[in-house]
Amino acid sequence: MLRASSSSSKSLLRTASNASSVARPFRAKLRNPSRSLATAAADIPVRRYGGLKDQDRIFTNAYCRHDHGIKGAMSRGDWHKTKEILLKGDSWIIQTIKDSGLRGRGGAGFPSGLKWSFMNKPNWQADGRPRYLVINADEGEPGTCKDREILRGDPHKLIEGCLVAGRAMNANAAYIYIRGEFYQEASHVQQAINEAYAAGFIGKNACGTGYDFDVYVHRGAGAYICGEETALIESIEGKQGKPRLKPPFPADVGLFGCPTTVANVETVAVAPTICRRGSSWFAGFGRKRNEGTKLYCISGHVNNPCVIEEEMSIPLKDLIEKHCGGVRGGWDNLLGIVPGGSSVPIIPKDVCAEVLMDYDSLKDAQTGLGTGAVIVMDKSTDVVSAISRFADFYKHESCGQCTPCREGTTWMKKMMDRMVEGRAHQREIDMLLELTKQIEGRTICALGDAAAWPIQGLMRHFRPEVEKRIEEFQRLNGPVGFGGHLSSDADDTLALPDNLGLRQISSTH
Amino acid sequence: MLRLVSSVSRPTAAGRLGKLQATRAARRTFASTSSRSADVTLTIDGKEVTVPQGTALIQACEAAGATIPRFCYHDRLAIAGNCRMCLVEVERSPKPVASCAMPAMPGAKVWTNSPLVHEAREGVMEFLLANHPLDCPVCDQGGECDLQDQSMRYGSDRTRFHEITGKRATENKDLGPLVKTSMNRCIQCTRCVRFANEVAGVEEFGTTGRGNDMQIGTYVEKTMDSELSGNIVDLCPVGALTSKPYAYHARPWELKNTESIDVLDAVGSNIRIDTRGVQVMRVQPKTNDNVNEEWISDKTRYAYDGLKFQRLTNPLVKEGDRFVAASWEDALAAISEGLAATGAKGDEIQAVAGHLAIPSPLVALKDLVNRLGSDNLTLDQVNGNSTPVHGVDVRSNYIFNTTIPRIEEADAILLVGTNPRHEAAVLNSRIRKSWLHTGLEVGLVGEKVETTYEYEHVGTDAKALSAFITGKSVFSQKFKNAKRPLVIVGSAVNEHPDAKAIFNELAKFVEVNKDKLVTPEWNGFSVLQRVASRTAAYDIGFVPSASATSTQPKFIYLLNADEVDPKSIPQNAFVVYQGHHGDVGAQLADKGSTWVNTEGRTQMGRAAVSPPGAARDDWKIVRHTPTYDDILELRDRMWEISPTLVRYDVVESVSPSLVLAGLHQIATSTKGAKISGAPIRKPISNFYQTDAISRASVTMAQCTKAFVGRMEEYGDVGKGEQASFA
Amino acid sequence: MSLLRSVRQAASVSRLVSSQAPAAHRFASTSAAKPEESTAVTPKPEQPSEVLAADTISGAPADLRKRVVRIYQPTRNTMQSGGAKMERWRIDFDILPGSSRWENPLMGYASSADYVQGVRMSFRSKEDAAHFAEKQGWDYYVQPGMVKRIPPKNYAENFVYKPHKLRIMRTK
Repeated sequence: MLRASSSSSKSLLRTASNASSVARPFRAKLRNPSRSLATAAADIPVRRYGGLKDQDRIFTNAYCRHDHGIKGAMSRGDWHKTKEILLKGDSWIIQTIKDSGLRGRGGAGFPSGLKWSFMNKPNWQADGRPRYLVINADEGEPGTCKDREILRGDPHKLIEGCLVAGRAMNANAAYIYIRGEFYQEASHVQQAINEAYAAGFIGKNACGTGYDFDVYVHRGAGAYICGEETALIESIEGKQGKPRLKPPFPADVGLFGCPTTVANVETVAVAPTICRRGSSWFAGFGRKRNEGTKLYCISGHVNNPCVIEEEMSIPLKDLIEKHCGGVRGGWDNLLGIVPGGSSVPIIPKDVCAEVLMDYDSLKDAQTGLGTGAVIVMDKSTDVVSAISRFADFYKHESCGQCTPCREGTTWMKKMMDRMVEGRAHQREIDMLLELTKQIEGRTICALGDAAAWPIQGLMRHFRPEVEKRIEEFQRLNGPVGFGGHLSSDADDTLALPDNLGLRQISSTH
Repeated sequence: MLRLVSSVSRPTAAGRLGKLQATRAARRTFASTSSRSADVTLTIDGKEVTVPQGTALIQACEAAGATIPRFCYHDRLAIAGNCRMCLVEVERSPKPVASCAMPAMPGAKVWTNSPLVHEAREGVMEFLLANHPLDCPVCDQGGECDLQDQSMRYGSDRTRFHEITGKRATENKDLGPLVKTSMNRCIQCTRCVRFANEVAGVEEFGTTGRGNDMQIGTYVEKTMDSELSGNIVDLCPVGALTSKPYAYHARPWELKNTESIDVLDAVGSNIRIDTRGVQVMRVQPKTNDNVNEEWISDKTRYAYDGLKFQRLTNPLVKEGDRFVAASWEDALAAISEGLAATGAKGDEIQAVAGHLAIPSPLVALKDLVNRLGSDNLTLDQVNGNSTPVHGVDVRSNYIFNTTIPRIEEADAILLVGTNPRHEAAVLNSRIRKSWLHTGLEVGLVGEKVETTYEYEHVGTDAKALSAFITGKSVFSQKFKNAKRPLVIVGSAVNEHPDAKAIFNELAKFVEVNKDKLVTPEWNGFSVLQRVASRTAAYDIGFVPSASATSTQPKFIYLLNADEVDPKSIPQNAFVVYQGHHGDVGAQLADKGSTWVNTEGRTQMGRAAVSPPGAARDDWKIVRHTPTYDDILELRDRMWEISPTLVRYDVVESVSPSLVLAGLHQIATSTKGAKISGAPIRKPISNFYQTDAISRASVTMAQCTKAFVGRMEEYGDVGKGEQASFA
Repeated sequence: MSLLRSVRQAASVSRLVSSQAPAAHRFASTSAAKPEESTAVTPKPEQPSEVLAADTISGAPADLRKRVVRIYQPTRNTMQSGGAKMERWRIDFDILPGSSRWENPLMGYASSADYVQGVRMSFRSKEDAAHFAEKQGWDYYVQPGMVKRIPPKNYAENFVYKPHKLRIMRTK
C-alpha cells in the first residue's frame, strides 16, 4: 500500500487544527491512568512489548481457517451490538478512535480519529453533496500482505468497519477499492457485502438505526500507484490512476468532487472492535503515541514467514524470533531488514537488534514502519541487487505524471542496474544519492520519496559493498567512466571531453 | 482588486490582475449574485500583494512581479501541476510547493528565488533534460523554446546523464497535415492534452502508458480532427509539436512580426503575421481576450500559403478567349471602354462585394457606382442581389449583439441555421468552454452537425423553429427557464428561402421575451456572420435598392467576389474582377486595412508584406473616378458613413430599445411570410476551403483530404479536388 | 485618431483644409464616447509645436516620407510562456504601395526600397514614441494595449462536484 505523504498529512493537520478542537494535550489527559502512571514513573521503558494474548487478537480469522461468511463472523463477535455503536453517534465514535490512539495502518501513520473528524466540519449538513468513505484495499507494496488476509478471512470486520467509520464521518457510501489481482479476496468481500445486505446490517436503515449506508466493491486493474489515496480516487472515477496534488484534500474535494476519506483496510477493520472493547483496551498496547495492535507480515529469510497480529512496539528481534522461527541460519546470519515494505530504507543487523516495531522507533532509526511488512535478508542476499529490484519496481510503477518521479526513477533504475555488477564510476554513488535528493519531496505524491528512500538506505548502510563491486569491476575491465562507459571502449582518436570520468588521473594512483 | 503595497513593484503587472478584478466586479453587479469579495494578502519575496481569493499562487507571484518558470501551467488551460518547474518556497512548508496548484493563502510568506527554490528547479530541469534530445540545431522550436530559455537559468552547462542505455526514444505520431510531431522531445507537460480535451473537444487525445513510457497520443492511432489543432503547436513548450507547413522554413529571429486581423472568417481573430522578406512564413495568434483569447483556427493559421498560388499580379484583359497581361493604364482604359460599350445605365451597373473585400474599397466602390447612378450593390452570396431580410438600417439586426466574451455568460443557447464550429471556430471554443464549466444547454435548429458540445436538435426547418417558439419542443422549456438565454442566428438564414419567416418568428419571439433576451444588461439576440466583409458591407449600406434587384446588369464589377455563380452573370455583361486569386473568381497579409468583425468590432489590420508584382491596393484601383487620393481621406469618408468603422477595437453597445426597434422593423417587414419547410442546410461543408485564399492553399487542400471526406458523410469533396492542383 | 495631426506640419495647405473638418468631428465623437473607449484613441489638444519635422529636410524620396506609423505594445509570443519585451512600446511602419520589397530571383535575397522596413524602435512609453513620430513628421496612431483577463485559477476546479451531467472526463 502506498503511503500517504506524511508531510501533506501534517499540513492537513495544520489546516484543520481550528476545525477540530481536539489537540494533543486533550488526548494525553484521556490516557489510560495506569499507563500514564507507568510512563511517569520512569523515563526508561521498563515494559517489554509483544506477546499479544489470543483474547486480545482482533483478526481472529486472519489465516482463513474458519468460516469467513456471516455465520462464522458473527460467531467470532462481528456485528455484535453494531447498532448500539452506531446509535452513539459520530462524535462518540470519533472520540473513541482518537482516545484509542489508532494511527493509519497504510503507512503514513496519521491519527485516524483526527482524519475522520475532518469530514465533520462545522455546518457540514448544509453541504448538499454526498459523502464517501473509500477503503484502500489496493495492497501492492512488495512484502506487504496483511490486508489480503483481512479481506479473505475477516471480510465482515471490514464491512462492519466501513459502517462504523462511515457513521463516524457521516458518509453515504463506502467504496472498497480492491486491487485487481485479489480475485478471491474480492469475492469474499462481495460475499460478505451481500450477506450483510441480506441481514440488514448495511443498506437502507443499516442495523435498524435509520442510517442509510451502501458499500460497493471496485476492483482495480493492477497499478501500484492506485494505492495512493488521490490516485485511487481518480481510478474509481474511471480515469487513469494518477495522483492529484494536495490541496484540495479529499475531505474537501474527493471522490466525484465530494468529501471523501480514504482509509486503509486494517485501520477501518479494527474500528468496530475498538468501539466494542473500549479505547483504553486498545490504547493499552504499545508505546505512547504508537498504541494498538498491528498485523505484521514477515517475509524473506526467516524459517517461518507469516502474517501475525502483534502488539505495537514489539522489538523487531522478538517478532522474528517468536513468530517466525528466527532468521534462517540464526540471528548472526542476518544481513539487514527492510522493516516496512519496499518503500522504507533498509537497516543493518546491529540496528535490527535494538529497534522496536512502531512508528517512532523506526523513524529514529532512519527508516519507517510503513505497512509493517518486514523483509528479512540473510547474508546470502545480494543486497545491491535487492535494492536494485526495488528501483526497478518503482520505475515500472511510476505513473509518469510529474517530472522528477518519471525521469528520476528511470535514471535511478539504470544506475542501480549498473551498480549491481559494479559497472560504475566511484563518484556515481554520490551522484546517485544526489539524484534521490532531487526526487525526494519534489513530486506530487509519495512514490518519488518511496523510490528514493531504499537507495538512500542502501548507500547509508551498505556503501562499502557497492564500492567493493565497483573496484572489482574496474579491476577486471579497466576504468569505467560516468554512465558505465568502459574506458577501453573509448576511441582515443576522438577528442573526448575530460569530464566523462573515462581517464583515471594517473598521478593520484 | 490587486494592490501592490510595496513601492518596488512593476505597475504593469499589477494592472493586469487589477483590471481583471475590476471588470469582474462590474460584471457581478449585473449578475446580482453574492460576490465573493474576499481578498487574500500574502507576501511574495518580501512584497505584499493582494489578490482575489482562489487565485493560484503562481498568479499571485506574477502579480508581485516575480517570474515563475513553468511548462505545464498555462493561463487558459486547466492546471495540471505536473512539470514541477514552478516550485516555490512557502514558509512553514518543509517541501517546495508547486505554485500553480497551490492556492494563495492569506498571510503566506513565499520566496520565489531562494536557494531551496533554485536547487529544486535545477533538479527538475536536469530531469527534464535527461531524456530530451540535443536537437536544438534542427528543431523548429529553437529560438522560441521554453525549455531552451529556462535551461539557460536553471540548467547545468553539461549533462550528468551518460547512461550506456541511452535516452528514451518514442515513435512519432501522425496528427494530420498540420502538426508535426517529434515525440522524443516531449516533456509530458500535457498542455496539448488539456487543450484538446477542454478547448478543441478532441477527447480521444490523451496519455497512454505510464512512467517513462508515457506517451501523448490517441492510443488507437488517428489524426487530430479539430479546426483548432494548430494551437497545440503554440502551446507545446518544447519542439515536440511543431508546425508541419512551417517546418524548417524559418527561425523566429529572422521574422518580422506584424500584428493584424484575420479575414477568413467573421470573428476577426487577432493575428500576428510573421514574414521574412516578401513572404509570409507563418501566422500566429495574438492574444485578445475580447475576441479570440489566445486561439486561432487552422484556416487562419495555415491558409497563408494560399497567398502564393494563383495570384493575379498583373491586370489581365480578355482578348478573344484568353486573358492577356496588360498595364494598369491599359486595364483601366479597357474598363472605361467596356463601360461605355455596354451602354450600362443606372442599375445596370452592378458591383459585387466578395467575402474578403475590405471596407475602404467597398466605400470607394459604392461611391463610384452611386456616382454612376446605380444602386445595384450586390453581396457575393445566395440572394446577394436582394435586400437582406434583416435590413441594414438598424445595426443590431445583423451584428453579434451579445459580444463574443459574453457568450460565456449565457446559460442557454439556441443556434438557428448555424454551425459555429465551422463558421466561427474560435467563437465556438467559447461555447464549449461555457458548456463544460457551467450548466449551459444548447439547442440547434438546422441541419445536424458535429459540434464540440452536446446539443438538443430542435429540428431542421422553419417549422421546427415555430414549434420551439410555441413551446412544443423539449428545448423551449429549458430556454424559458434560462436566466441569460441567447439566440444565435446564422448568416446562412438570410440566404434561405424561408428567411423571412424565420426572422419574423425570431423577431416576434424576442419581442415577447424581451424581459430576458433584451435588457440593459443582456442582449440575447445575435447574428453570427461568417464572412469577414459582411458586417462592414451592411454598415456602409452595400445592399441593392428594391428596383436594382430586378435589373439585369450589363456591367459587373466584382470586388473580391469569388463565390459568384457564373450562371448568374449575363452573357453580354462586361465583367471586371478585382481581387487576388484567379480562382472561380484578397489577401489578409497584403492589406493595411480596417475590419469589422461579427460583433461589430472594428479592428485595424496592418500590411505585412507588399503585394507581389504589379498588384495594387484595391481602393487605388477603384478610386479612379471619385477622388480619394489618400487612405486617410477614405477613412474620413468611412466615418461619415458609419462612425463605427473608424472607432477601432471597440464594440458599440446598442441600447435595448434600439434592438427592439430593429426587431420590430424585421417583424413588420416580414409579416405574413409563408414557411416553405425547406431544411436549413449548413453553409459551410468544408471548413478548410471557404474562400479564394484557402482554396488556393495547398495546406488547406491537404486538410480537406485528411479530415473532410472522413469527418462527415456530407463533406463536399468536389471542392477539395478542385484545389488539389498545386 | 491623431492620424492627421502631423500632416499639418508637413503637408500642403489644401490637404490641411480638406482634412480639418472630419478630424474635428471625430474628436467630438470620441469625447462623447465612454471613458473606456477614450483609451482607444488619444486625442490631444493640438499644440502649436515648433518642431520641424525631420521629414521635410531629410531629403528622402517623397515616397518614403510621411509614413503612417503605428505605436503599439507587442503582445506575448504565443509560442512561449515568457512575457518579456511586452512593456516596451514599439513603432512599426506601413509598407510602401507597390513593390517596396523584392527577392533576388537567383539567391533569394530580400531587398527593399524602403529603409524603414528593417528599423525596429522601442520606447519606454507611448508618449515617447508619439513624440518621436512627431519629430519625424510621421502620421501615427496609438493602438491601445490589450488587457489580459485571466480569472483566478484553481487546481481544485478540475475535481469539483458538478450537479449536472458529467460533460468531460479530465485526463492527465
